[in-house]
Amino acid sequence: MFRLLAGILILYGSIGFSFKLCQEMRNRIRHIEQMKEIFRLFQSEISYSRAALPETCFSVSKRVAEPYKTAMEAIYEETMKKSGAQFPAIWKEKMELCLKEMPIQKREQDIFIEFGNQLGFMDWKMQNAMLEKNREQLDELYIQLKNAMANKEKVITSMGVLGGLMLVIILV
Amino acid sequence: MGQETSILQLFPDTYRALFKEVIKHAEQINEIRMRAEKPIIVVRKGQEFFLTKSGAFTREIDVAEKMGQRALETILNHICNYSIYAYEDEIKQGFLTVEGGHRIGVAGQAVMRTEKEIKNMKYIRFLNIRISHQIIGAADLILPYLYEKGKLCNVLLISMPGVGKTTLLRDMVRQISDGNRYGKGMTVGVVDERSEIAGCFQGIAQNDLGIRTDVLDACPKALGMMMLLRSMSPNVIAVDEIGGKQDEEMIRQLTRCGVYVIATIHGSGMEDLENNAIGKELIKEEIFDRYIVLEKEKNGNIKRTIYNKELFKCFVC
Repeated sequence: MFRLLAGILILYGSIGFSFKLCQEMRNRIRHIEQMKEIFRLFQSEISYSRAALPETCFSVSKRVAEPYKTAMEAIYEETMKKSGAQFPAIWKEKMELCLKEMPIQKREQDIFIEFGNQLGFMDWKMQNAMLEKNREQLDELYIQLKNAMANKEKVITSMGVLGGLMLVIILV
Repeated sequence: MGQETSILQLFPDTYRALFKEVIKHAEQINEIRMRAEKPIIVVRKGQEFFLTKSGAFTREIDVAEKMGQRALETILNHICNYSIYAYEDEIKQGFLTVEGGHRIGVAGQAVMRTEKEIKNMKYIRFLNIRISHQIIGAADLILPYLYEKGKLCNVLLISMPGVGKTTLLRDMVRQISDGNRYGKGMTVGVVDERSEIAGCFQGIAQNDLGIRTDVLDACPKALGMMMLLRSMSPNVIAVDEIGGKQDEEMIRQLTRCGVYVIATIHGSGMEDLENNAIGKELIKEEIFDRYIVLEKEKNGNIKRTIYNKELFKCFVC
């Protein structure tokens, strides 16, 4: 009876672990989608209202989900303090804090944080082109992950089940 | 916000130490001129000083700190909130107004759209920060002469640049708008083509222009006067540095509509005005009831002479 129970628990644990891995992958894709959306919102704010970046952060904060909402508000508040801190440094600090616990990888994190160093264009079209480039990079990553996800999910789930069964045979 | 804070905010943290002495004497500072690879020049009480590396004032050019090209770019970027594109229109016209009403003049290489129209400016290597100083009470002495039998007069201020006609106009607007011992408060419309009178930043006047004042910022004068007349029904319209034929025609129209006009014009005195095509017409038609001539005396004091519409001197101080 105890052996059966232990076997079920091991199997449950390994399948659960595989689901967790799949969930993390889905979350990573979801965050990339959100980052793309943030860049898109920045582009529309800049092209339609020519808003400056702190104000853009404030209006974007109203249209994005957590944790980006809080980060955008924090950037706006920090820049409005006019303490002398430079916008790229503020963006980096707040975004690193925001993305610290996120299920994302260095590649997308770098694209997002690097945005703070791509400012200062005289022309709004140039500034938007830079945002567009970042969005395209994220888009490329998004498509890659999305295409790979279906197969990876199957492999991870199967591995979870098989690995669990193997552990049951070995241990129980 | 204090003068010191508003000046300090213009600089990113890495350059604040360099301007610490400037901040301490904020009330006396007229201009901060920065040119790429050239010494920083600060005009304090009308006198030029250089800044040393530690931020102290000096007259010795050998110890003067030079402004690097990269530093200049960083300061401009900081002033523009790292969003230079958002200030494209202002940069095109050569200046931008910041919080506190200070004006940042910019110069570099103009990118032309057509022969007569600037598209943008690149390689901005010259910055001139003109510190805004509102002098509350600047119009106190002349105020009694702005009214006749309880009614406001149409007033034209005449002076050379840098003598203080905008400062005087600003205080006149404030006192007319708020009301004073000679007249009730009136609705004043200000057409501020170069953002010098109100010093608007994001639409908010940084200088006190009174509680009944509406400001049309960055709008050509003649067009602005017409717009204010139609939209805000002002009792008084104030405008700085009239000069074109259109301005003259619009002023004529305003006075016909019963709107009082307070304007300024470049000139050294009444003689100069009489030789000016616009001035001659305005005098002849007796559009203005008062002419106030401002002159800088050798000792630096400002002499104000007030003439009535018949060009008789009524007051000198």
